[in-house]
Formats: sequence, C-alpha cells, structure tokens
Amino acid sequence: MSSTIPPLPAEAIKKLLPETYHQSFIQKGVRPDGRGFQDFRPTAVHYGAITSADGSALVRLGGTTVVCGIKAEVAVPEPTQPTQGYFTPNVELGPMCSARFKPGAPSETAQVLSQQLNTLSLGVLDRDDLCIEPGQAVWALYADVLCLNYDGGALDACQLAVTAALRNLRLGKATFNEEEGAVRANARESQGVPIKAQVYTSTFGVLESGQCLADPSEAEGSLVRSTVSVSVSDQGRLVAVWKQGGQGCDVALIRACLDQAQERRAILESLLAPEASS
Amino acid sequence: MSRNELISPEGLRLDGRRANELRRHTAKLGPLSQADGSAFLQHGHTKALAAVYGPREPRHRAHAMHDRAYLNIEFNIAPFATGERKKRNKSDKRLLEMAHFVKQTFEPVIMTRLYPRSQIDLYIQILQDDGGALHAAINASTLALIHAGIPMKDYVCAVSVCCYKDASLLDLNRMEENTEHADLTVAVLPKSGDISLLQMESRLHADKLSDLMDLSIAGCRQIWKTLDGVVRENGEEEQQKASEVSMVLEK
Repeated sequence: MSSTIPPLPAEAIKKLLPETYHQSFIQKGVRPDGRGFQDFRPTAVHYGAITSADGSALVRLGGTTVVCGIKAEVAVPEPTQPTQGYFTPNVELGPMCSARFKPGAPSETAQVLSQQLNTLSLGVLDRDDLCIEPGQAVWALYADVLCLNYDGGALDACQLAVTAALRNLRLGKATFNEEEGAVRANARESQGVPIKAQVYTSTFGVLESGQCLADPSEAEGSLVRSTVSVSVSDQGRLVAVWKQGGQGCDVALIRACLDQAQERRAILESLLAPEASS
Repeated sequence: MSRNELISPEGLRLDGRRANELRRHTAKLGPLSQADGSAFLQHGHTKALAAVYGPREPRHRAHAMHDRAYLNIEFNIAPFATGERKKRNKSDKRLLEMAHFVKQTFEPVIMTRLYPRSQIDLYIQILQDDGGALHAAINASTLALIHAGIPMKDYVCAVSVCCYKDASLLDLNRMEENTEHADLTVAVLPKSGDISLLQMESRLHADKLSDLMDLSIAGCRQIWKTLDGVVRENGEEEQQKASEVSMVLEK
C-alpha cells in the first residue's frame, strides 16, 4: 500500500479500494475468506427442494445459491430426428440475486450460461433415451435454473444443480396408444432417466501475476484477468474447457487447472452420492 | 366425499384441515446474503422468497420524487412452480397485476417520505405455488422489508378466504382456489386492524362479507404472531452476535 493512503479500517478499504484489499491478502498467500489458492468454497446439494417439479435440486456454492427444477412434457419430435427428445436448460440471473444484474430481458451472461449448460448436457443425456414412440412422441425436459443469490461461480453451481436435478428426476412410465394417438404416463411406475456420464465443472481465475485462484468469488472478480472453466466426466475424461478473458496464459497453467478439476471431481462425486430420489 | 365437495360431512377439507385452520406456515429471515433484506416463507406447499434492495439511487431519473421514495416491485413465478410448466414473460399481465397489488398494499405502510429521491426495490419470487401466491408474497415482503430495516407503520399480514356453502374456508390451497366459489385475499395491519388490501373477483352475497372479513382478520392475526416471533428471534440472534463481536474487540 502506498503511504498516501491514511490508515482506514479494513471494511472501508474493502469498499473503497477492493483491488488493494484483495491484493494485500494474495501477497500473503491467503484469500479474504480464509481459503488457500486451491480451495473451493463449501458446497452443498439438497435434492427435491421443489415438490411441484419432476426433478429438482438446490445447490449452494459458498454464497451462491441456485435452484434447478426440471419439468417434463410430451412433445412431437423433429421429422429429421424422429427418436430424439428435447432437453432445454434455461438460466435466470434476475435482479434479485445481486445488485449488479439489471431488471429486464435476460442478460448476455445468462444466455451464455444457458448455452454452455446445453453444450455440456450433450455429454450427459442421450437424447434417444427420451424417446417414447419414434416419430410420434418424445419427452421434452425443461430445466429452469434460478439464481437466488449470486456470488460468483455461476457456471459451476448451475451445472451441479442441473446434474443433481437430473439424478432426482422421475418420469412416469409412458406408453403410446396408437388408436388414440396419445401418450399415457403411469406416475406410479416412475423411473429415472439413464445418465451417460456425470459432468462436473470447476472454474479458476487467473490473476495478472499468473497465479491461479480456484472458484473465485464475486468480490475477487475485480482481480481476475481471465477465467478457465474445466468440465470433466465421472470417468475422468475431459468434456469441455473454456478460457475467457483478454490475458493469455501458460499452457502449464491450464494443465494445472485440469489436474485440480480432476481432484475437485472426486469431491463433488461423493457430495452427489446420497440417494437422489425424493 | 365427492370430487367437487370441498368439505366432508365430518367438517374436514381436502387436505385434512378444519374450515378455519391455516396451513402450516414457517418463515426465515435473511436467507440471501446479497440483498439488503430478504425472507423465505412457506404456507403449506406454497414457497415465496422476497428480496429488498435499497433505499438506493433511482435507476431512472424520472422515478426520483422530491418528497418520497419510489417503490419498485417485481413479481415472478418460477416456471416449475405449478403442476404444468408455464414460462411467463416479464410483461405477463397477471404478474404485473400481482406486482401492482403488492405495491398498493405497501405504499401507504412504508414510510417512503423518509427517503426522498431514492428507490426501494422489492423482488418477489414464487418458487412453488400451491394456492395463495399473492398472500404468501405479501407476508414474505413484510418480513424482507423488516429485515432490510425499512421503517413501516405496522406489519402487513395477508390471507385468503373463501365462501363455500355455509362455511367460510381460511387459507386456500390450489384445489380450493380453482373452484368457482367466491374467494378473497385480505391484507390487514394487525395492530390497528386496518385493511390494506381487499381483492375479490367473483360474486358474493353481501351478507356473507362480514363473516369472511372476521375470519380473515383472525387468520391475519395468527400469521402476525408467527411473523413477529420470527423477527424477534432474529433480533435476539443478531444482538447476541453483536455482543460476541464487541467482547472480542474489547480483548
């Protein structure tokens, strides 16, 4: 800190000079919330939070809270892909979850998140498993993700919520009646959807100095020059990597992120392990 | 009990309640850390979340009023809140209407004159709707405003009532709400007994109104007890935390 700044209480520095505040922690090798550089925030999953949805989960990642509810409907498949069902994720980052989101049409951030979740879902669900009767009827799954409290790490939290809600999802046993041309679903014989692979996402923030922070919070975002999001499947295979932000970074750094994401996967796996059915 | 009967010969409703019984309701103050004040409230299976930001600078200069604060309310129902999925547009008429009702309810109660040229934002999210979304929203908003420390004349407590044959039903669930029987939502300031909101959209015999009003005021008083209990409990917790902090500082 330069000597021109009069001594201020820590709270004031945090508000007035957020960069200086965070920098002074980083120099000492810790983060303001007491985490080490490689630590993720405490994570919790609560299955079946919304009973009106067919599958749901509430996920907390530090201060970030998201809730995902999946609703299933019967739809007519595209003529070109008669056996493929639909899976439509949609993220809402409303003005409720943080003062930085403005009311109005869905922000670019929210739309990008929805698209990223959609891309990741291709590795999770086989659209052919959602078929009821080829060319006639398929399941359409709508996964609506609401962010209730935003403190960074939106992609990690949303992806975890969608994964957990999919595990929690129960669909009635559907049969297609050819005479009526209608689908009947027996709610008593409900079953889960086959999941090809669980996908876990971990985000890292890269600082100007080239140091790497796991799971940056919203406040740390002011220091982070670029972010690296790594998605790995439960078989340990790499599903997606997104590097965003202007500053270029070392290949070695990306490799370190991949290793950390693998470690994180094991923790998330055990977190999701308890029986998902409500 | 036949399909369209709302009350059995034994005097029990579809979910096993008596006619003048509320659903189980629980509330929590401050579930959200980003908002200046927030509350989560549950009436049976109906879950409402309210968040307050402000008083802060108005987003549009046109909203700045020289003598009082501008109250901005957004009401949202999650697409997965009801049995059938419904994606609602932000400009959905029903949502705007609900937001308007909440605004009309709170405008005279909040002391907006203390905050000229500023704006108070109240965001309401219904996570699950099993009837009574409006009254759950109003009760959650009361708690969120209190949690944000915004001065109000009194609590606002709301409940819905319905006139069914000779009986008056309190706190309707979705199945009871979907019948054609006249139902009304009432918001009351429990200390003075003043009525802040009265909403009814079907025909009702004038003789029945006073009975329904009496029942709803009694229901609101009961909800008030719960809300007040939650606020006091939270206050004690905060006080304890503060005293612990000051003890640490003294050392």
